[in-house]
Amino acid sequence: MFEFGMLHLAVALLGVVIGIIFGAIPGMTATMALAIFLPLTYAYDLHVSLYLLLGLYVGGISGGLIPAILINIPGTPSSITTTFDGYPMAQRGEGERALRIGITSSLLGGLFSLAVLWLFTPPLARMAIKFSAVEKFLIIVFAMTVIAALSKGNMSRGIFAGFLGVLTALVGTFNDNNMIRLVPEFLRVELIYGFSLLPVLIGLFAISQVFEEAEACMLSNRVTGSLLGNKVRKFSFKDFKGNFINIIRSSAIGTFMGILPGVGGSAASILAYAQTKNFSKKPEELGKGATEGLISSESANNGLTGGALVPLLSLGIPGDSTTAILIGAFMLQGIQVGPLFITQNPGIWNTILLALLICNFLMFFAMFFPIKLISKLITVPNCRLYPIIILMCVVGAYAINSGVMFDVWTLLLFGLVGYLFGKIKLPIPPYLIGFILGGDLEKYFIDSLKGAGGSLGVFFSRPIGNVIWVLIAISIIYALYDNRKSAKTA
Amino acid sequence: MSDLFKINITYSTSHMLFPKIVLGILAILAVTIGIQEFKKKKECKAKDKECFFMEGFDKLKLFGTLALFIGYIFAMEWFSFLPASIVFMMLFNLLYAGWHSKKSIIVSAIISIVTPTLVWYIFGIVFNITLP
Repeated sequence: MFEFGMLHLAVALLGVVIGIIFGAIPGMTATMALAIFLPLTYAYDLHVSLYLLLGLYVGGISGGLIPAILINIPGTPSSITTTFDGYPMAQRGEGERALRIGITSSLLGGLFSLAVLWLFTPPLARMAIKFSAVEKFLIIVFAMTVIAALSKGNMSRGIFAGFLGVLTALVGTFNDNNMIRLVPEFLRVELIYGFSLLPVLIGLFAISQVFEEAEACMLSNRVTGSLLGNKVRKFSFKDFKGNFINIIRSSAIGTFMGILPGVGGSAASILAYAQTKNFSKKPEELGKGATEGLISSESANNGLTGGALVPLLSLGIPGDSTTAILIGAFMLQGIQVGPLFITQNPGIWNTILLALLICNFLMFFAMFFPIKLISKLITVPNCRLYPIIILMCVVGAYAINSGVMFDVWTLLLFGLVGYLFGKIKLPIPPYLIGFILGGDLEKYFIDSLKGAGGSLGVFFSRPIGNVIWVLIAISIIYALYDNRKSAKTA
Repeated sequence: MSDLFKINITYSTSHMLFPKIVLGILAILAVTIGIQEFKKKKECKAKDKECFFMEGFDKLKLFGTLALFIGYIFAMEWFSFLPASIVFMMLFNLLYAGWHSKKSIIVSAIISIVTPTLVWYIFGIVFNITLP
């Protein structure tokens, strides 16, 4: 049914602890942690790898609350709203209490999203099994319009980045007629199969960060004195009294935002926080150290973890950039994620659910009790960590295809691409999702056309396809409306 | 009329059909973004000049990172993983943490010897992962 043993528990704990460290150090993210540790999974089978990777994922998303509360710097983008109430609490001397409230909320959000993952993925996958190439093509187009819709006043750049990712995915051989395209003559041997996914991922998320930090002098967060406060008010589970609906609402927003492809944790927690403010009896207290706000932010961003796995395991579309790396892990083990995943691999599916459950509890215990030790993490200087990150990235990229130095060059190239994207304000997540889905997008497009003798009418000929067209239209209309609204307020 | 909505897929050129469509979409989007930027610039009248690099950016660390990275790749091809990594970890540490205090240099040296050796042992020997 599922795999579990001491080794699984040990790697899950290792993953959670390393994830927390990555999450807690500002500038390092859960995505980066997964990208760097992926090569380690070569040595294990998929079950053990999943415990490690999901541990990194849960730990990485959760660890971000530590610097958010203690020094007002979100450790990961998804903990932005945690700073709003967490930091004022720390300033009042309630740092430890705030951390413990945040950690408990993270656990509750994570468990909620796990339940949604368990309930929603199988029916969605059953529906997706009936999809022909037309629906598969349209669902990817839908995924890309959703990314654009959530690019907040940056719609055209979001779509541009998405299609640029698709174009990058098309580099190499086209399987139908075995012709090579978009490859310069001198790289024909190296790029015959296109760019490898993992060096691209590690480059975009880890190496680009090294360049950004190098530009900013590698300034580390030097913090002195006790950050945890003088225990004016101690944590108690009574702090959650009256927050039941808040937890459910925020976790649900986080989880369902996670299901939409390409949406990061920051969008989920910002939306959940806004709703908490709308429904609050004392909205004026939010932003001044209200436990309500902190609970909302943390349950939403951990709600994302299970949510982002729903489209990955039912449709093969990653919910966010971190789950995109999980696709890499499945590919390494030769397993295809998509509508048939659960029926063909029931054991792996059960392992994923169990691993997520265990990782959420491990995260709770690894952060709740040794909180004093964990809070020291944010004082580790970046200048000592980044050389190690570079080393790990190089090892990872080189090992992906069992020793190809071109992959290390790819790593550097995409590190520079990611750095450049930051400069010209092109968002990386749509680019990455475009890159991952680009090959399939082309395949389904050509297959649909071939089946219909080249007629474009085929894309409007199927009932489920037409439903997806309606969803595409809704997301484009929302995108245009939201884009205009954001542009006006800017 | 129905021919308008028909695409002929020729076997020998089918590999370029989709890339051409994507390039077309990218060109349209690039023009749209260009127009938007032009409008924005006109509205702001370039009151605050945007620079590519951040203000007071660290030239040495930024370009040093790029140069060392390229050097590191070549060094791995010529001298294999462990010696190249020890030398370049030291250089990266010196670049980022500085070389002005004796203590800092000693810490750099320890990190540069211990980390690559550990990585080499754990990945290369224990897990049997291919290293340069």
